[in-house]
Amino acid sequence: MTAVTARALIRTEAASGGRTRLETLRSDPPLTLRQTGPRRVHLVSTGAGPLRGDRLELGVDVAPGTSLEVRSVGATLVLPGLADTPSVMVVRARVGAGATLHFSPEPTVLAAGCAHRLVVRLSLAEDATVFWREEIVFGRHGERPGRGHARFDVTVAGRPLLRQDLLVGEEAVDGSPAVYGDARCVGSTLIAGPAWAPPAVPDVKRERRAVLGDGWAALPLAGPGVQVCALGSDAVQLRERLRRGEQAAAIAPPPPGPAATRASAIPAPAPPATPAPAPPATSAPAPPGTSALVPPATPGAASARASRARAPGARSAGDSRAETGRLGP
Amino acid sequence: MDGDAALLLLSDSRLPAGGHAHSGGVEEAVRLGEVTGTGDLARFLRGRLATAGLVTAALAAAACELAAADRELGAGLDPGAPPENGAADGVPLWRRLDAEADARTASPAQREAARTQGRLLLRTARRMWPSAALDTLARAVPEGPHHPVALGAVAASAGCTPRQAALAAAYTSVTGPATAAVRLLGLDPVTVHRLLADLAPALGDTARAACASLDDAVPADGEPDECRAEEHPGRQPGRHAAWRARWRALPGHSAPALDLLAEGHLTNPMKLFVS
Repeated sequence: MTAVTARALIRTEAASGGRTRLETLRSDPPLTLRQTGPRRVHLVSTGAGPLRGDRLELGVDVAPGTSLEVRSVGATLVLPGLADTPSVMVVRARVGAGATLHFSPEPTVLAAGCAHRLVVRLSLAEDATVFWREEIVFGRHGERPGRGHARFDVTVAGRPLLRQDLLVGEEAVDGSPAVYGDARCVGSTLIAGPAWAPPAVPDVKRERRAVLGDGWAALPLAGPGVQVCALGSDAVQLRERLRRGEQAAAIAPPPPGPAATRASAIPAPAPPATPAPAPPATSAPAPPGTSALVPPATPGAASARASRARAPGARSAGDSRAETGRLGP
Repeated sequence: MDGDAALLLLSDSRLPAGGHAHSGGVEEAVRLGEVTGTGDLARFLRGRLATAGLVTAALAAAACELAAADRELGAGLDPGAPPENGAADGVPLWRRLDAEADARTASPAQREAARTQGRLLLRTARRMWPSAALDTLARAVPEGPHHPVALGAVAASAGCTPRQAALAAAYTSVTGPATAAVRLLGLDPVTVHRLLADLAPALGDTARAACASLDDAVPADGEPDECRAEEHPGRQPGRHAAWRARWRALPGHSAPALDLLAEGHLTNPMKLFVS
């Protein structure tokens, strides 16, 4: 068993009539790429692993004005190997002006004994749009996970939007109620683009409010994006929670201005079985444009949207939470 | 001023900078039953130190380093004097470092808490240790810099090294939550301080790792390095790029549970602590 090094590449180009053409689709086993739609590519793993010592790199280059969807056929099972060095997966993605990238592979499962490094470098042009989902499962059923370290760097026109590390299988974080609690998997989805830009004149004392659910939250970032983060007891629950957060986050904020002022004056939708939350102690009533996020598509959400239109001057957008959360599974 | 003594002043909970009002997620964890006693608390604190503690320590070390450079550039400037060469040059760099803190803080509730604490600390410190760097930082981020950025700048003004700044950040990342837990759960204060004593080696390790991460600086790895003219009109773009490269790879260890706790805390109408 020897370590594998592979470099695969997907590159789009703009074709006539505003269409997207796959300019390059270069597989390098075990990273095998299959075109499954006009603008869609599936990753097909043709080989076990990655195993310790392997180094896999995927380049994704979405040309200006084009769009691309990248998925995978199955989960990635990271296994131990003979080598002392960790397995490494590097994804470098560039999304050009006006381009759109949807990246949602199946989860990465950290099998017992593995040591894995996942590095994602995502650089977005000023007006690029991206949907990027990552899911990490702490070991196969009933097993203790190996070690994993995922680093996620996202820049917009060279400015930092999100820089995160996730460590799994380290003594300091495992079982800590501050990090994963008793969850068995962690996931996040970044939804970013000009539609999610914060108000042009930032008043950071009045951050946009998050939407919080059971084990998930849709977190408006300081820059043009929303990150959904979720914890789950298994991959199915994790995906379900991420989806709920994605629904909450995917609805673009209203444009700033008088319309947004009205939109931000949302009365609290009756939260299921929880007391009405108080306005946050650290901030005054919401300013224009703070209701970037609307409640998720729960049974109560439709009525929340309906009541928004006819209830000016009510409560702060901070009250627009549909649910209050309980951590963990 | 002697850095060691300044470090003690800076990390003392009696420093009038509002730190006592924040529980670092402990209050919500207690409300939800995630932390019920010293065993949970020990795991909470260790996890918090390994994530938020490391990130704030690295940002504080970076800020301390920048403030020291700013001080050299701004030598001869009186605090409060109108900005000139060095000080004016510092503004975009402080904004960039604060943006690096934003990028490592996905939760808006946590950004708000960090800015509230940073603003109060900066206001206090500008009277205790006035310096051109603190004036520049206040001008660069008028809404209040992230707490670790303020802490690092203040540490430099008080004569501390980046490692001391990192240690102060790591220390405050666990001491506030620990004392909050004593009040919220009625725990034995000595038992809880024993937990902190057990963390002492990890605090030192965290500060060292934070400083080492500054030297992991990598040139942009596929990241286009923006050089927008308005950020540094006619001024040393190379110097700015070098600072940005130094900050790009700083740790961003995230704690999803802390994010959820911070957001949940805002919905609690009965809370004792601001965060």
